[in-house]
Amino acid sequence: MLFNSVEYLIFLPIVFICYWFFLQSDLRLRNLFIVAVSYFFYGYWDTRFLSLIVLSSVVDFSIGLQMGKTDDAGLRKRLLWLSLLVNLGILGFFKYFNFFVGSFIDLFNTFGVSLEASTLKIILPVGISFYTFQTLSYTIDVYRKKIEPTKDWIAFFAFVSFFPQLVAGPIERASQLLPQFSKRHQFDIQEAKNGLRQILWGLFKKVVIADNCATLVNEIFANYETQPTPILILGAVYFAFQIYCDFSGYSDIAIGTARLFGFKLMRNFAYPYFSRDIAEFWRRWHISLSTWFRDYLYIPLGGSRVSSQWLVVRNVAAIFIVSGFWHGANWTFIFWGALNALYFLPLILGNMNRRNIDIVAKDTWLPSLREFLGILVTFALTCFAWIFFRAESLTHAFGYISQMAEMSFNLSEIDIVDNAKVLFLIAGLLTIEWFNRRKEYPFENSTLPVAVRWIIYIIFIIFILANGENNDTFIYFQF
Amino acid sequence: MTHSSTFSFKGVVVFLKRLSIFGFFAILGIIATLFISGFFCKEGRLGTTYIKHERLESLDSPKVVMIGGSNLQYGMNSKMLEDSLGISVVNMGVQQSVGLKYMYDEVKDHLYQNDILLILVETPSYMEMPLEGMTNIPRIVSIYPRGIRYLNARQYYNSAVYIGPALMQNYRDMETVIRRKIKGKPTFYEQCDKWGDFHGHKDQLPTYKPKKRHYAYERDYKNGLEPLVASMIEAAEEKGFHVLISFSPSAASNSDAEFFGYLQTRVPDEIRISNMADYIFPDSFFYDSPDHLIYEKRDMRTLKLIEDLRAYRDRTSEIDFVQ
Repeated sequence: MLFNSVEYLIFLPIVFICYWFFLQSDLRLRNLFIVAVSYFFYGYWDTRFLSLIVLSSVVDFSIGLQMGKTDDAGLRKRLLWLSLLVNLGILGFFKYFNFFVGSFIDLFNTFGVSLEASTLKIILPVGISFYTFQTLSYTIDVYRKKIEPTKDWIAFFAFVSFFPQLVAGPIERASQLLPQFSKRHQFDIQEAKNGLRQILWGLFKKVVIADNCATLVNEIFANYETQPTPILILGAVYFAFQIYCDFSGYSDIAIGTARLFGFKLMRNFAYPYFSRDIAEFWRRWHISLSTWFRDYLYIPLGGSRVSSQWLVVRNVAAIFIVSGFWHGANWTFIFWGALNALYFLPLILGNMNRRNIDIVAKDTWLPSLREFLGILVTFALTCFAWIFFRAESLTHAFGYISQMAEMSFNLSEIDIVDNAKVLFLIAGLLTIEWFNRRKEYPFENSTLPVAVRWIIYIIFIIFILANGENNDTFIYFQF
Repeated sequence: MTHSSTFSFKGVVVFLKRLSIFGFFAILGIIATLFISGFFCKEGRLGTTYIKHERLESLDSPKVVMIGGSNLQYGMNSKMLEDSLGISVVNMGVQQSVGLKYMYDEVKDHLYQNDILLILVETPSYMEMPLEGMTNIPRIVSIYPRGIRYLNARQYYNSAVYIGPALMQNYRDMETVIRRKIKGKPTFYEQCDKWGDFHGHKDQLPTYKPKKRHYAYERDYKNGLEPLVASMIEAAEEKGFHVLISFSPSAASNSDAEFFGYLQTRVPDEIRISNMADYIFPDSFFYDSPDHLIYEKRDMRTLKLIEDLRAYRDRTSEIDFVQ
């Protein structure tokens, strides 16, 4: 079920009313209800893949229990490997099987050995990368004895399948989300209002900005051979905002929905395009995934506290390339990850990666010239990398960049109205975000008079309604 | 893990109450925006609605009132029809399928003794769903607010469901007007004559690509056109006007022989003035859809209609005031 669909508009109030009016007396019943509605939410797409969520849940719940019963380090390690094998095995099969087979065949072809292409028609289950990482975080934390294994299977199943964040995150840690299924929630009207506002803001970003950018992006990337340089640059910029508004919009809807039910999910985006360097960008972009890789890959490899610079390079490259590969089975994502590693390395090797921790211009209205230039350069580097992320193949990406370098400035065929409309929307987004950058999201705890706030919300609803006919899916569902 | 029931519903109830109040104002705001957007769409595709209503309401009887969709706006020469028949013509067709129900409701109060109501709807509009207008009702009402009085409960429901797409369509119409003004080209409205007939397709090459349509004949016809035509005939007998049915042009590749055969037999003989087969033309006669004739073929279609009307006059002497 899509968040930006009529079905969800019906589903959410029904679940909300049942949840608060009928299920607050019994915690297990409440959690069972969450599991049921989450499975319904997921199964609305394809019931076949529900079995994978159930399998992941059963395996990690059982392994967690077994780990809790023993202090035998060897057995605990074997159990952890079993969990990794099952979870990553499922993920690998559904997401990467064809990629590896195809790449293997290509490699042999390069050496003149012709192999028969034999790939399978494998459908990628929606959200598999997200819930797999979420369940893995549980097993790893139990293994590290950072958390106690839960004995409540219903709470665990609810943790794995919690519908607001099931298909595209934020990827929650068991230590943060699981305990919330074991406590009773009191309805907090302020939280609920903030939840609705966050949903509204998320829908606006997705339906109005991302989907309008998508129309132009699709056209520009599909016909890049005939486009002039300024339009190709705009294509990359539009995609930067498309993917940001699409994904952060989803996260806002997910977090807002969870708030309606009294759950607190982690923040996933913190105004990434106001970052002054790439290190800051990665602390503000897809935070739940970046911190996942930091905690479960980068730090176990030694992080930056290793004996040689070479090992730092290796660790940074590993985290970015794996992150790229996590997004999809395509060399474009790997290249995108490697490019970001390349951007990041000078900062970490020069020990400059933590220069910009606070939000830009924290105590002033405008950034300094240095900060402004930092934001511009970071954004330009990010846009360049997004070309690889958006392209269908490396050839496509390099073709796009070559065409960009042609320096063609014939703008006579350009649709001024469409471009002006999207640029206006982007300018509006940036203005709203800039003036609210100290908040988690712009509408949070607004102090404006009620009448003004309501008028603003109604304007946003009208924008969403008018743009809602496309009903496009979210980009990150494919990951 | 079971807890005693100490949960207070008060907070949730207060929240839902406030949400309902907000929802009420949001609905008002959305409706207001729809009408405001409609006000700015008068140079767009539906802008001729005003001209058409003005003619409908000001002309004396006898007059011919044609109801239908875009086939009338693109494929009819109202001036030729008026000059040939010797009576005033009102062409109510606009480029939106607002449904036969609405089309009839908006003219029925202005039909008097000896007027001719000529039904020339596109073939899909003979069926149930298009009869109710679907997405286009909120658009037409936003542009011509007086039209709201013709809506029935189902059309109100459709308007509520499709208000978002209607807003977007209005916005796109405004956008098209702005685009054309930037390029120094005439707007849709500016390319229409005093009958509301569109002349902007003159000398433009056909771009129509064949497309099949699917119908659920019996069910849709029984629920749709049959009761509506029956009520029209009843009103006509009461007020003394004439209800006649002809057919909109249809592209040959789109023709579903079984469907047309069915329609031909079901439309009541006493009010049918045309043979459907006469309105099936080669694909090359169509501009961008199986209902939109190219500009150069609209006279051919108008002449055929004049011929059919005269043949009906001679056959029945019902409309002997027609030249």
